[in-house]
Amino acid sequence: MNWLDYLDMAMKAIAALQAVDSGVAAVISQVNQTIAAARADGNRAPTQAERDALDAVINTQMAKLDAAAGG
Amino acid sequence: MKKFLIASALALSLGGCATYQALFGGGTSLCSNASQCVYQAKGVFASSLVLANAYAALPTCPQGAPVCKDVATVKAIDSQAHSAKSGLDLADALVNGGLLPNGATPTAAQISEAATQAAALAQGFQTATTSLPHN
Repeated sequence: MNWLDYLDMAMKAIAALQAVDSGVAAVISQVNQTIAAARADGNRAPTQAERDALDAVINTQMAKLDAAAGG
Repeated sequence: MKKFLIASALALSLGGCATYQALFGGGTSLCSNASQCVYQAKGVFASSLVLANAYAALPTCPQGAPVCKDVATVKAIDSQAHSAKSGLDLADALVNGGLLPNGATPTAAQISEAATQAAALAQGFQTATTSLPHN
């Protein structure tokens, strides 16, 4: 491989890392906002809809990981 | 050039880890009751799954790639994810009005313990995924 191949590889790695960072940040933001809202609303528990939304994220990611693991 | 580019990618990835910790309050718990704490634990688990999938999307070793995935590691992480999810789902049900396996209503101490166990499961999976090569 020449330096252009390495540059291409590094650019792809950076793009992948940015996508991961963005995906993680989105989940964290959702969770933090929900907990902040619950605390502001009489320190209630997260609603069923809020819990279902997080479960949907988990189930999507689990299905993806299952597929990658061959199961 | 190769070393510089790989070092740059690693620096960015370390920046990502710092962002991850900062967004979750640098390890400070945001929750103030069992239901919120289990929800937060599931959030940690969900974000760790994103990292696990990023690792699973890497080229398979050994192909000469500077960063690659080991298939056995992907399978092990997937298995760990299933164990963690089962525990988190049980804790989620328990702290949100569910009953114990024997049909009894959980005590306050059992609900608190469920939240503690959920946090431990999520943190265990987070530790496993943040130590993967891409993170």
